[in-house]
Amino acid sequence: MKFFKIIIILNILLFLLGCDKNEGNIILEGNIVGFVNLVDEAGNEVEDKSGVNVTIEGLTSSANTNEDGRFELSNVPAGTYNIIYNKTGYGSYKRFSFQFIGGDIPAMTYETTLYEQPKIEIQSLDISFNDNIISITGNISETSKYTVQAFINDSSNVSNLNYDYASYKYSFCCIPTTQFSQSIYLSETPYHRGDEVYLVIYFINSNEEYGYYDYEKEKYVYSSYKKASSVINLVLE
Amino acid sequence: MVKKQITMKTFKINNIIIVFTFFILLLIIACEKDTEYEELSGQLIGYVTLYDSDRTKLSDNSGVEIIVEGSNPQLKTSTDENGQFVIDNLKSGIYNIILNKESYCQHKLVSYQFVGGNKPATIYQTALYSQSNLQIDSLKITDLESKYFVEFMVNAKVSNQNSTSYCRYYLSNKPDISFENYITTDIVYNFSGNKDISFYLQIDTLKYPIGSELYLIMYPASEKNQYYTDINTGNIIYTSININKPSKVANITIPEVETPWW
Repeated sequence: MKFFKIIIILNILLFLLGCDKNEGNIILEGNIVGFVNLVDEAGNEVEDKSGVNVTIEGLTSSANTNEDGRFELSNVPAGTYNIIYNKTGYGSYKRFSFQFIGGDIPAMTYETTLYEQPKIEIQSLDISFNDNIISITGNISETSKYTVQAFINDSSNVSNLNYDYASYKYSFCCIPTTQFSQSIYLSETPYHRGDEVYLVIYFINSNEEYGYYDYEKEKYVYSSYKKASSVINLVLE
Repeated sequence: MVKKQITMKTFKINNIIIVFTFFILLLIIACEKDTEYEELSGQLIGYVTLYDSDRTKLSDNSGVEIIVEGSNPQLKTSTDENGQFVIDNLKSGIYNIILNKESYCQHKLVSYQFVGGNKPATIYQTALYSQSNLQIDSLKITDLESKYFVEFMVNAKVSNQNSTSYCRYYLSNKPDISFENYITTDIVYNFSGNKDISFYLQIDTLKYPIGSELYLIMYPASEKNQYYTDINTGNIIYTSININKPSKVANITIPEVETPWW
């Protein structure tokens, strides 16, 4: 009887092992190739496009671009992926739902462009609330082309991905200037007189016309978003 | 007593054999199912339209050779009169599909992702253009001596032209310029009967710095837009040009210009 039991266990083991091996082969693998373009603050194409890190959300696969902006992610199993492009000083871009089958020839993704984040910094910032208008005036260190956007939330962890209200994007692209100003009417926002709100300012590269829609956070995102101010507490009185 | 013991043993051994066979069978069935899934395959159908040098559709679209690069063994077929081609038993995977016909411009569909399944996948309306017969006899580039901008005039003498045709020119800062190796490119038109093509060129000094050498080459083109992306370099490769009939390479030094006051 013992021998009988051993045979059964052996059989089960054989069964599990035998089919496990095949399950690993079900999904095809392959490489994903793509090209990344870099645009600097002035709007010019950057010659050396190396050093952009490309990763796939949920996988350990990672690749860096070469001087031509080319990357190749190796041995990626078939699937639908979000591809993240990231470079210090250029922010990050996320391509959603890239469908990949795998095979002997690499798949190609559409070209992605990353825009350099504005290098300027805010030197002084004045925010006030009068006549149901939130007025923002800021000074920056040097004349430059840039775009400004303000985000407001009723919680202090306000950011470009966490807000109730996003202001219109004010572009100072054509006449470089050291000062920016913006007015937000209370009636445009979901707030009322007496509310306590938190406000933060972001810069965007003014050459970045189109960002991308983040389907998970349900927010429209620009790759060159750069936090330009600290979070400012404001009572609307 | 002794006899009975022997029969018991035989019974046990028989039992063991039955159980073992049963499991082996189960294993084969289970694993076979997986193997079937692994080799998901299907049919790929495509349509190719042929255009002659006047860019009019042909009624007979047959004889285009279709090669599925990346399939092993390599699958091949050709189009019928309607331009239809059918690839059977194509395994799930990524392929380059090459379209080839003598005296037509070769085209390539790069990194085509094929899933497979019960219904055919379809590639609609791929065009193949007849190679242009235009001959570019000479190519000249001259400086317009503009004050603030780098501006050139390009003149080409052409022959063997039977209808309104296109040319595609390429610019580079290296002498080994070709349709695969360039920095910028654009299309120019030539109207029927003209023996000269001339066009104006304004140069971006960020791409071609002052003092450097600019190289120019031109190819007869059958159409404006058809291309694929080179997976190694990322270059856009325009496919409706006649790669066998390039012009000679012309070159010029980028002149110095004044920076505009504005």
